[in-house]
Amino acid sequence: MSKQKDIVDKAVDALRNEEVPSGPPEELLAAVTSQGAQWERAAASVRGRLRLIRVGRFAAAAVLLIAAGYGVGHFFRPGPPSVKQLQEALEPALLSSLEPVIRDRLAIELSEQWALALAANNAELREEMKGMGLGVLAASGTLTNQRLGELIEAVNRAQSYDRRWVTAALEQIELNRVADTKQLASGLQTLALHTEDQLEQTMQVVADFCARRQTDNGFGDVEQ
Amino acid sequence: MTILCGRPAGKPGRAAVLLREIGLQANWRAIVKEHGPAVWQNCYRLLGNEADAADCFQETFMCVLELSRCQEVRSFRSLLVRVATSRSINRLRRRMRESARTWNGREAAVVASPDAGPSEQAEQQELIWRLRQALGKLGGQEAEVFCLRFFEELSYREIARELGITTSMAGVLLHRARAKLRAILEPAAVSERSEV
Repeated sequence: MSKQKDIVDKAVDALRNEEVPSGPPEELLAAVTSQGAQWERAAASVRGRLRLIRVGRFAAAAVLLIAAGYGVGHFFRPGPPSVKQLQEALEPALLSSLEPVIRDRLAIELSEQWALALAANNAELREEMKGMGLGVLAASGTLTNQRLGELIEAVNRAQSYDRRWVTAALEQIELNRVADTKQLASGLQTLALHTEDQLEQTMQVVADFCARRQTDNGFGDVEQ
Repeated sequence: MTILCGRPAGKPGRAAVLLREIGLQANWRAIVKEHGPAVWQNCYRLLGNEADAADCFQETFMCVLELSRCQEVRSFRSLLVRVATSRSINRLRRRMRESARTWNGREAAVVASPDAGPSEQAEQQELIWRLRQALGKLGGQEAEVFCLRFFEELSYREIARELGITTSMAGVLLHRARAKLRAILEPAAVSERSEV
């Protein structure tokens, strides 16, 4: 087994160690490089040719198809149709197929127009309401101002009236006070006079009394 | 043998092809200059003569050029090596079919082992010749896996990625290739020794 292994390894080693001439030769390198360029040019021309062939094939196929279509159409071309028959034939089909579509479209168009009209009316109404509101606001403002002016005037009037009334009342009170003072002064003078008179009378009475006592008790007593 | 120059299923767009062509035209000379020596060594080692190696070299580059127009190429080196290996094995097989030759010592080349004597050199040359013959007898993928593993020194994973197979499949193919080569090489060596 080891021998067998050895022979393969030996052969491989020998092949590995075999002297390989340095290369590749320059001319081979140049040939490969130039072949690359040639191959590229050839491939480009082949591609061009292939493209032409492909386009040509397509053109030929298109021409054939058109010719075949024309031939088939020409062969199977029907005679001129009767208008009445055509109408009779088409009417039910058109009715059944177009009526719901037309109805639907009509409904859609009507609803769209309604929506547009409503939108326009809505806008107009809004504008009118806005103008009206502004007018009402302006008028109510003026009236309110007028009323407020009147109210202020009335308040002022009432205040002046009250002020005059208070002044009159104060004057009256002052007059009353002056009168009362005068009356009190005269009363006091009267009282003073009365009191003086009474005092003189009392002094007279006392003097009389004293004189009487002296008379009743003699001279000694009168001296006492 | 895998056909490497087939058009892919998903055809690229016209603009993509045009851009790739423009890029390729600009780089082609550089690609040939950079990877040419590796491809040359690969072809020459497997084929053993300059004429075949040159043909194979040209075929390889033309095939890769066409391939690169059809699809995106990730690594030109690995693609070139793989195509070169595949083409060389094809050529070996064709050569083997055309003439069932036997070793006559005329195809001897120089073996780079200065210590070896003339008889050893002759023996090694014969061994190399037989190995080439044996590689021509292997199945396409087996030979390809063997060459990529032992001459290009790719790992199992790299071989699997290049050939589009699983890693375990690469291992199986390599094992089969070795077994077949042993079976082919060993009797020849034994008979030769008995003749001597």
